[in-house]
Amino acid sequence: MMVNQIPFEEFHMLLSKQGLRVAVGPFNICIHTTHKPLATKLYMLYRHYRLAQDEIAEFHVRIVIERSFSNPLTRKVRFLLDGQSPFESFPLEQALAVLEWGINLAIAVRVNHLLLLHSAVVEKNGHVILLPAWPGSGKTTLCTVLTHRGFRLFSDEFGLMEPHQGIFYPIPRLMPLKNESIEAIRNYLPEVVMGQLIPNTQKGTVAHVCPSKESIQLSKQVAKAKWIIFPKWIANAPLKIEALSDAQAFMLLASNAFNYEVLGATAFQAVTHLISSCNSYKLVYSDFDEVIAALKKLVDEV
Amino acid sequence: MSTHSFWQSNNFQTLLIEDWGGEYTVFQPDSGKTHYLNQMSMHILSFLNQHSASVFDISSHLGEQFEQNSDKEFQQNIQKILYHLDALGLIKKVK
Repeated sequence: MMVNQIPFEEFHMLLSKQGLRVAVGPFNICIHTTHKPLATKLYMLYRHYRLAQDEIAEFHVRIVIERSFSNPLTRKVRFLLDGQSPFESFPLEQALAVLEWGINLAIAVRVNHLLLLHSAVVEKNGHVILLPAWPGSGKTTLCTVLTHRGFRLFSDEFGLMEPHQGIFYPIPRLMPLKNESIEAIRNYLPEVVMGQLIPNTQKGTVAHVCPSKESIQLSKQVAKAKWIIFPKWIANAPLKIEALSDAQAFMLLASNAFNYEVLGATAFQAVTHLISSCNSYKLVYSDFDEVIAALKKLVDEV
Repeated sequence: MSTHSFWQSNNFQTLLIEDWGGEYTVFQPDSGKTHYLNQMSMHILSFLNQHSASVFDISSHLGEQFEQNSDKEFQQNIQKILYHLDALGLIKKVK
């Protein structure tokens, strides 16, 4: 049963009582909150996720409301993972952003049976394209565009790779656009389902894009990678795709992974195999139409 | 770093080395780090796995391998690479 198949009242009750359990890729996440405005947002943005009320949840997360010590009239939100608070408290209106960051943190620090590459991941023609990039490179923006133009979303943040077989697991989650990219996406993809603007966060203004229903429904369909493309958005830059040496791609990928050093030799061997089986490129772009056409051409050449 | 020092590789047998056509990625279990080495650095590392050697010995050997004069500038470049490999813990001083 999907979230949108239960009434909001039941959804809210689950969130505020025993916890709402949703299946997100290979994990079940149990979310608690009594904060009704957050419940309203989640009901809209999580509507295509499968409910997993009777299943074991890997992550138990909670958004609690607390009074500010310095100003008792001000209420703030705090994220808890298994009862522990990894962050400071945040303004009430940032509850959704804090929840999403917190879930990312939970995945990044708790998942060590998979290699966690810091990468957007999309699928086309049965093969995965990795789009690894440092923060600010525009990978979430590119991922949003591609997944609304024929590519399936695996993740805008995590390349979840089974290290021995090289299989990637989809984990389609909300995609947090930031600052100028919000307006750029609204203009380019008027059909996009986007949450409200959340201003003044640590990362500026954030708005979350809902993954497509199809990407969520197909989140059990794994795939192997065929391309590794390091994207960089530069204003007014002409499109440029250049092949990258395997050794350079290796170092960029490994140095940009969440748990590479934790997995040690297993990660080295996994990345070696991944690089050997993929073509690696550097991509500079500014125009969405051009980059979509270039990537479709690349994947259709197989 | 004295040119009279002798060097040898450090736990070379534990390294995982992948050759990407003249560029190398090297996993070092002792540190858990992965290093990028170019061909020259890898030649030095594997030479020092076979012999302990001075900068002069290494320069002479590599001068022949890479068909370069083992002059002062070349020796200085070798010293820089040795400094880097030492900092990574891939080689150690033996005398």
